[in-house]
Amino acid sequence: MTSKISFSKLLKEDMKRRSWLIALVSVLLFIAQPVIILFLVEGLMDSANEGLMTLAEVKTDYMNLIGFEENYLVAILLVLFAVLIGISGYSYLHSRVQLDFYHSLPVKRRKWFLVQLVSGLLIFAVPYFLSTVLSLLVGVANGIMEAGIFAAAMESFIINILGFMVIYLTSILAMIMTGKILIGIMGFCTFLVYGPGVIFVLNNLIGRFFTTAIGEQAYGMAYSLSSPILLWLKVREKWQVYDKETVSAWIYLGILILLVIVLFGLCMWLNTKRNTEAAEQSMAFSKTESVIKIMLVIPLSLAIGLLLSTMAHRNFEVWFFIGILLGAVLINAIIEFIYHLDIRELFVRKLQLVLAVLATAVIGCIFQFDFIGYDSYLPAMEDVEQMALYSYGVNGSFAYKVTEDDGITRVEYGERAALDEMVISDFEPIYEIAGNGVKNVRKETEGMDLVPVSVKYVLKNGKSVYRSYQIDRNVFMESEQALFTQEEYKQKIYPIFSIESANIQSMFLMSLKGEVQLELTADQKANLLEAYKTELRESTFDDFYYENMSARINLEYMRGTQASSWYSEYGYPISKNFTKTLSLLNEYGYQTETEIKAETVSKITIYNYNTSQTLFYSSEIEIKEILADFYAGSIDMDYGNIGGLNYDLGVEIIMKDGKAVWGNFKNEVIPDCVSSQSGYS
Amino acid sequence: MIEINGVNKSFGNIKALDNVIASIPDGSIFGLVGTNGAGKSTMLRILSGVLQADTGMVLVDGEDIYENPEVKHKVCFLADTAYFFANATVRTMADYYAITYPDFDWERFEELVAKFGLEMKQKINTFSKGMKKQISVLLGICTGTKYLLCDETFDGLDPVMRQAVKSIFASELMVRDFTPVIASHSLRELEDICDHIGLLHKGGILLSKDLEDMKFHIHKIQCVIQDPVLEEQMLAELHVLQHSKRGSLLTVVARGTKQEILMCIEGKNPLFSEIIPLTLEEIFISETEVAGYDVKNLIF
Repeated sequence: MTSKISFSKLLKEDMKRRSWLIALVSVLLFIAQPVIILFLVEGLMDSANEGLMTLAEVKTDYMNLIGFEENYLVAILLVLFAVLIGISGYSYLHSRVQLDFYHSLPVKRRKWFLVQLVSGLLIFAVPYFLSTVLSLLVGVANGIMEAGIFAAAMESFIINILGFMVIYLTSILAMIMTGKILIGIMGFCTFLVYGPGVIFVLNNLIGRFFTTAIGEQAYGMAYSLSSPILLWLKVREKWQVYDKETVSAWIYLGILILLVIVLFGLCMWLNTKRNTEAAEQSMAFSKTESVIKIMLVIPLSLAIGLLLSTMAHRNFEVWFFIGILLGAVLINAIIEFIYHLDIRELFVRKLQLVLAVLATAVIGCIFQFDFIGYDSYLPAMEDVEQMALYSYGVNGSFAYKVTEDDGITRVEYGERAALDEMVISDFEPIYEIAGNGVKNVRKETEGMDLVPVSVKYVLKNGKSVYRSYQIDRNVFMESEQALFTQEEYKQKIYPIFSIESANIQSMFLMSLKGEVQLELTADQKANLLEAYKTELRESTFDDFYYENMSARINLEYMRGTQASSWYSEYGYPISKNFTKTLSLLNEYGYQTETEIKAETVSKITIYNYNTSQTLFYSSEIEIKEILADFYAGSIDMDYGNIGGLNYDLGVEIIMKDGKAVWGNFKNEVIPDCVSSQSGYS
Repeated sequence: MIEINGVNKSFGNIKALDNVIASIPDGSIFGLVGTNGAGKSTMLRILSGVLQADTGMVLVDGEDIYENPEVKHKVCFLADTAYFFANATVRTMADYYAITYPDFDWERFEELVAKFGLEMKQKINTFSKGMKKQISVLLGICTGTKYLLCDETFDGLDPVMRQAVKSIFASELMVRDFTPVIASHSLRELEDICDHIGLLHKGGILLSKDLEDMKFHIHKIQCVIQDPVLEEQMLAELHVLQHSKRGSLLTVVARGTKQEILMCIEGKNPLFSEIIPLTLEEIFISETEVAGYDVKNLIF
């Protein structure tokens, strides 16, 4: 009478009842893995036989198919099955009739939970394993199987099973915490998107209200941790063949395993705490109702506020607050309706509504009125260890962050990556810039001559802070002039200082005569590079004003250690004062022009990008007038005019020899013949 | 024996059971009566370990049943709406019960299924409501559990089947240690089968008594006493629960043994006197009226 009921018998019975699911999983995985791989491998083998591919390339492609990189269909099916199996396994928790049956049987709730859990895992894992084995047999049959491919397949299998578990357990958690299937599905979706959604809203709030926030907010690992599905995708990305040796790959894998354990423990615990009578109620744990509601109301109403303010043509601050207040009331009412399915209950819990509205309004005010002093942030100089400065004119041509993982070189662009690589210890001029930037925050800047920059503070307490500012041009120029006297600064802002001539594949000279590739011997290349580095090291900021510019040099060189990691960089300035560089170029047969003579010009075309209007000028008077204010893009480094060029108008100068030179005008200097004809001023 | 000690259960703001104290003796057929919403289903779900009491305790043979598989092996609960797996046949369900109740009596089950004219291979979703009830009862009986908790089991059964099920209960009682607990909103359903009745009202037990005991101590008499003074004396001497008079015919429901009551009436020189049988309804009306309730509003 008291014999224990066998776990395996219950498991077998459960799987028997969900045989439709086993059939569905098996068929779709069979199609998604071995069948598709078979077709693709046959195609690859045909290409190899025809000499279009090498066998090594076929093996790499096959490994990608069976590993992480190209089996997207398996990844999509995995997510769908995890949800479907989770819902089908635990839907009994939402049915009073089924609970009366299951919970009256002489089996503990914990055992029911484990039976369903293991059964669900087996329903997916066994067909998935078999389809992986069949996919490997495709490789064996075609003679392209290798130990490395087998290892990649097994790694992919294990990580995908962990991914399945984390999504499966998330769906189970949603089912346990709710009492209706539809609400359970909504809960599952919330678990997946809540974290990324909050980050998205936060990002937009920062971007909208904090004028000193730099464009890209870095959330790093937090973003991957914000959703179970993102974490699993990150682990897949990290464990791609070329990346798996890195420490971060193991860290992410460890976090994924930890999350599986935490979710398992949480589900087990909540399952024992869950009352049977929770079936057919929206939320199984009434105590969580208000917490979940407020956690949803705040970001969603802020998002509604942002949306309204974005749609508004004016008074966007007012619309933002109207949006968040209306949003808070509306979202509160929707959630109350979901909880109680009774329209009379929408505003019954007034205190919670008031709290949610207040919390949202307070957060809105924090952003609108900058209560946290985000924009006015300027640490005391003695608290700062190092600083970095980024301005598009000086730094925009270069990529600073180069990382190598398992032989693969990655070049990171963007302000944040650049700032990370450009910190200097003698930062007083940058601090001056920052101080000026803070003064200009939330100030009416109409008519001011400003230069946009980004700054990084590295504080003595180890914290790093990034800000973007609008700087008075004169302050910026003075600070840059001071910074250009520092060798450390120049070493940081010009990657050429760390480049050996042997790594340079090709060099191009851009001048008023157009672009030409330099045909140099190795010695000539080394001599030219050495001369250029020396003169660049000794240069001043003023050397690169337009009027002092002679040409610029573009490089194609190797970043990292891999022969395949070629990288092009445009924009090393050659000043008229770089006499040694210019004389070497002259010696090697390359001259640079110092000005465009009107008589060499055939015609000039002006493009107004705002109105799509095109104007043509061919008279000598007009050509001379235009050339007087022309800034040639081929040599202009924009150092003297940071941000000061007019990019609404594009100028194309066609030379009599057919070559073309592109450029712009300065903002405040538009030739009369152009402004009168185009109406642009 | 099942002991119910001060059990309370609320669902949100609704108090489903309010300090229920009762006991269900072994070997009896216990009827649990009450109107819809009286708390019968909640009571049975607590007795079967489906629900946990907020306070108080249910002891089955001295042990708490909640999350206790050892004790649950002694109890089978047949809910008002029976659950069958999707596409399950009679055999599939019996297989499952046989796994969860190792003492499941296959031989008896097959015999009863045949007697009820059902097919082992037939899909249950093709059955009528009454046939599903039959299968549910047969599965419950064949689990071999000591306690069988039936929630509105006779609801949906035709009179023939109802009688057949009652006779199965009676025969089970004869051959093994068996205590069915039958919850119903109709006293008439339970009248000819139960030997112990508990009356639930608004989540509380109004009374719980042995039927024979009640019948022994309460009687209905019809008599004609010509002398109004003697008639008054008789009513005063007897422990009258209810009386009415039509013409000269006096009908009295009084507490006491048959002998005590007859002795009292004979002493008043009646022209005619007779003890007539009380229905279960009348016993309950009388009992609950004394307690200050109008039971007609409660269960009829």
